[in-house]
Amino acid sequence: MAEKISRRKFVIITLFSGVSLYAAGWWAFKVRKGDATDIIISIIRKKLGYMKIDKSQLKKFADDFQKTLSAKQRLIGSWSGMLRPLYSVIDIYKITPFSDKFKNFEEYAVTMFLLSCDFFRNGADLNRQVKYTTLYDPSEMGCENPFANY
Amino acid sequence: MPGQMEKDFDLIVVGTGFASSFFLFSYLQRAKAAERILVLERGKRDSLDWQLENRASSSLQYNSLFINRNVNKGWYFSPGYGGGSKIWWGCTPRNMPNDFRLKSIYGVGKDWPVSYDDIEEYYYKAEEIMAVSGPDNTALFPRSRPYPQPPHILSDPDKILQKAYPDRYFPQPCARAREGTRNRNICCAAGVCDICPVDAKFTVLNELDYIYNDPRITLSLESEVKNLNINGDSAVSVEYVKNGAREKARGDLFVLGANSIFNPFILLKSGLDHPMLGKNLNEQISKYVRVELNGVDNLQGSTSITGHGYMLYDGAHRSEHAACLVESYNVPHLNGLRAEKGKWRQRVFFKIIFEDIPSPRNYVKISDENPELPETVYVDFSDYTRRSIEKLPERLDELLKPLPVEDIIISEKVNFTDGHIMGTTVMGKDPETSVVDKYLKHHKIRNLLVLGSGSFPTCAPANPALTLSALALWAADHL
Repeated sequence: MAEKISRRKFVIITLFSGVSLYAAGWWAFKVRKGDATDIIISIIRKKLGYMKIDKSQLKKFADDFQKTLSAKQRLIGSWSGMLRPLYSVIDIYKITPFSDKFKNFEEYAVTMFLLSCDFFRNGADLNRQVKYTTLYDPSEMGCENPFANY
Repeated sequence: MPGQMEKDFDLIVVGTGFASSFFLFSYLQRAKAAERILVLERGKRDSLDWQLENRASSSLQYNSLFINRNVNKGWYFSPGYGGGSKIWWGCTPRNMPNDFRLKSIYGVGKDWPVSYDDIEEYYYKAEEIMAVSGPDNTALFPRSRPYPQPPHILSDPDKILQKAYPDRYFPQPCARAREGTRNRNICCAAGVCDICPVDAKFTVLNELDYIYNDPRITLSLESEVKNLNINGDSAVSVEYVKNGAREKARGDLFVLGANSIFNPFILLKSGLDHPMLGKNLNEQISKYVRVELNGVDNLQGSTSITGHGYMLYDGAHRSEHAACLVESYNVPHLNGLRAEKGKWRQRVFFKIIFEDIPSPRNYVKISDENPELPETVYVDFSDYTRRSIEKLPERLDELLKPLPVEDIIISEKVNFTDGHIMGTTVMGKDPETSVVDKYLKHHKIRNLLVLGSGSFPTCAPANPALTLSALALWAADHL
């Protein structure tokens, strides 16, 4: 006769199954595709939450930015996205061997957003709505470094 | 026979990078009107427009041209017309006087057969050709004349460091134009200097291209030199492949200006064996350092690398551990911007460049697997350099006290390559221990010059392009 499962065990198994299912789903739909759009949006919202950033502008930036990422960067981004729900509870990156890579990816996304929007051009005014202009690419744009004095 | 006559030249030059171009600049000023010069260049003339469009400095893949089995150590260069000038960042520090006498002063490495004073006027000539921008306070490397262009604008953290170290921290001397020239635009700190989108840095393509249009010169592109033919103590001809066919050209004087992988390879393929040929392959070792600041914004400078720090360069410590040079970057997408409110620009990004003591255990050879290719063998850098790297954290803590530092983060690994390949055709007084003399003439084959940073007996922290260009002018002046 089968042993009766305890309530505690049931909760643990359910939770574990849920997380596994979530991970598998994410793997199938995001990580394998190397889709980093959501995580880019999520990073900018979390890190630059004090700015007024229009949702559609941010989506446009994430779409453009993602296209420039290498396969490796995209993979880091999508893995980072999979762990993100846990990130609000615990700094999960720090306990992985890839914490620097995740951190670097976050910082790269923040840097690229700040350089690709009109924030600095408008005097770093936090009261103004930030608009994405065009993806920062100095090879293409030449003298567009917003801070340089020459 | 007529065809054979067409292949006779007074001078045959291999390569079109810094060394060959600076040599030709000087040589042509004294050459007779009827002189016949052949220049053999392996690659194509990839224009700046082509480079920008293709996001590549060369239509040749540099790493397909040699074998390197060491996955932890790269050797970066740009093949093709203009060579390294296409991808350099335009950093033009001179070596310091003591870099030429490391053995005499500090008991390590080797002395060079030339002194700082010997080549000072050639340093200046090279700076003039490159229209170098630089500071006034250069007591560390005495100058006979001011820099051709005024210094670049420092960032605010640079200014703090300059105030703290007035004689050892100043704007980096560089060939990124502070003022436009006839052929170049002013630098606007785009920060992508390997292929400058505004054509502000010196390249052979923008400032010395006219040399190769001289009627005395025949420029043969896509011509891969295979070997020299040696008869007794003279080089008599060069063999090369063009359009799939092997060709031969006879000459009176031969100048190798490929790079420190291909110069020794060509000599080895020519049967010119020497215990030091190909040996001492080296370049500087560098690390990145990120410094988070509190209350001081960065990135106000006028060029990609603004400050140059000599606080850890010369001194008694060089008896024990390596000198290093500090470069301060002024490039937002490389420095990275911080996410914290108001602190976006409160970060300094340094590159710390260490000298190394060259060792024969690192070398270039003819590949056993494919004798048509050179192979680099690199075991490691010296303990002398390693000791300096180990001391870096405590030295930076002290050095950066003038800045409002929140945190200092030093990269764990040393950089994969600095693109400064040196040391494989070393110069010296003694033919037993060196390949070329102080005028870069081969000790045995006296009508053969081997130019470039392969001749450097030691590896100073300073970038090598200016010194190798000055030495090319010096060699042409002492034929």
